[in-house]
Amino acid sequence: MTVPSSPPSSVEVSSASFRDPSGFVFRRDGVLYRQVNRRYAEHFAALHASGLYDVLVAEGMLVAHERVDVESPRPEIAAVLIRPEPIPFISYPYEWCFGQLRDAALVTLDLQLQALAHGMVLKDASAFNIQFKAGRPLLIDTLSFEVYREGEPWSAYRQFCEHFLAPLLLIHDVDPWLGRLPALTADGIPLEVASRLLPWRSRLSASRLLHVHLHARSVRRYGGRAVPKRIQRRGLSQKALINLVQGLRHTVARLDWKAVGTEWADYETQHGYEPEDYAEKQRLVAEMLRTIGPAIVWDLGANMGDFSRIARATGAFVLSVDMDPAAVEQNYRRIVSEGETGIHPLWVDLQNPSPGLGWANSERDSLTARADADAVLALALVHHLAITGNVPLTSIADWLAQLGPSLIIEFVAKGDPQVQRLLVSREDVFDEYTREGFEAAFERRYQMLECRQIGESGRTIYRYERLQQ
Amino acid sequence: MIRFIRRMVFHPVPAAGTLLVALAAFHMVAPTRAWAYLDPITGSIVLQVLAAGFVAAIATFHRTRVWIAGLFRKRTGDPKS
Repeated sequence: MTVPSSPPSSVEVSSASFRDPSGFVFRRDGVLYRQVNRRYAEHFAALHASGLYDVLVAEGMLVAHERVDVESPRPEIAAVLIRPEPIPFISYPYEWCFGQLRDAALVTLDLQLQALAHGMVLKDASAFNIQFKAGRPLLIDTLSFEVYREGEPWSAYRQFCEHFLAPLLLIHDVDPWLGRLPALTADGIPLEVASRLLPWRSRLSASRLLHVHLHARSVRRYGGRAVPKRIQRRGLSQKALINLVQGLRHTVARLDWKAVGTEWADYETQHGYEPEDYAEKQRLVAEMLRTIGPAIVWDLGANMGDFSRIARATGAFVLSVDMDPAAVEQNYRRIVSEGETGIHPLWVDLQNPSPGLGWANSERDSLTARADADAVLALALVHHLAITGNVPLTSIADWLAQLGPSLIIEFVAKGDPQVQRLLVSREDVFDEYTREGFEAAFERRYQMLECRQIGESGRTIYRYERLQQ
Repeated sequence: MIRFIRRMVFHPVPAAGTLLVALAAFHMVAPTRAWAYLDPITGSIVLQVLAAGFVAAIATFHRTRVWIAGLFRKRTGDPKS
């Protein structure tokens, strides 16, 4: 099909799309396109001719695309231009809970098995190539396949282990917070680092021994050297490669992290509300959301996603953000079991939201840079930011105003038992943390449209509209 | 260690495989402190080729276990057992 490109037209090549010589991603007039370069044309043709593309799209494992006739920013190397289906929200592996990372790992291995069954191979296994659409992980890099050559080992084996297996094992065997480690590196957790961090007993597991410890040792031993001739002569049969991938799949599928024991994992029984007040809060939030009618809602401090589901019921796509890995994990498992397609859970500490990362700080956008909400929910959140995090109320209002035009926010006064719990072991230096102080801080950025008491709880919910500035 | 001993008793084949590989490769697993520029692909390729036999043995073991479990399921007639 032809996409008209009448001037003035804006073109922006994606800052995250410069490493792969097979092609690149760009936006023209706000629409996302992918260029297939001439050097990759043979593999792209094989992707379709082998039937692999149709199978993967039908199975929901690969983002669908259509060929377009649009002006390329680099026509001299262009073979084909495609327009992929849009992804509702781009998130990164260090923002996923254990279950999300595991499902992304499994779909990557399934992609490789399907590719091998169609005479192709997955040439890279970057976790950044997986995104979530309709609640399930899928590959967004259409140029990740190439024609399989008998005897060739899997060039993405190390990348898979560093992007998926290492963080999964560290979360599973050591601590869930090690899931944040990939944010420190550009290309997964180095196997040598993972090998040192995993407990000694992990060497007694055949899969951990092979894929992490021996792998790390082998990478170091052969660093900077060409593949020995005898290894080249032996090669790796397709059957052996399939065994390797199936072995990895077996290992990953068996990992099961128990999402308990963290601070907020039992929130449903610890939120401090009487049942009737909690029901009243749900009713008020639903009513305010219906009034706003947002297409996209960001639920900040979502816990296990109760209010995300209320927002979802209004028809919105919901980003369900929380800092507690167990709460996000439980939210995700509920999403999977319910077959929910419009809620995306995200593991982010709002006192330290994801920064811009990668080359020139622009390969991976910061959370703020990805803000596209029509409405922001900040329920039972402000006291944590203001008292636990010592963030001034004015600064909280400034940041929330960057995320979207409408805000539904709860204020919990200092006398509330939940706030008293935060103050129990520290001096109360929060003189400005009063209802008046809160309203003054937020009225710098917003116009108050509603202010409602939540039953007998003493808590208040506000509906704000951002001021035009 | 207790977990490994338990595996040796209840799953002797994979546990023995693990032990063999662990012993044979002990010198490779000992952590070192060297940091240097690495070519990550070569070591990864060498490991895949060298470990192919071991990976095949594990795969055969799993397939055999699934096959035997299938036989027991057929005998008892209980799809969940």
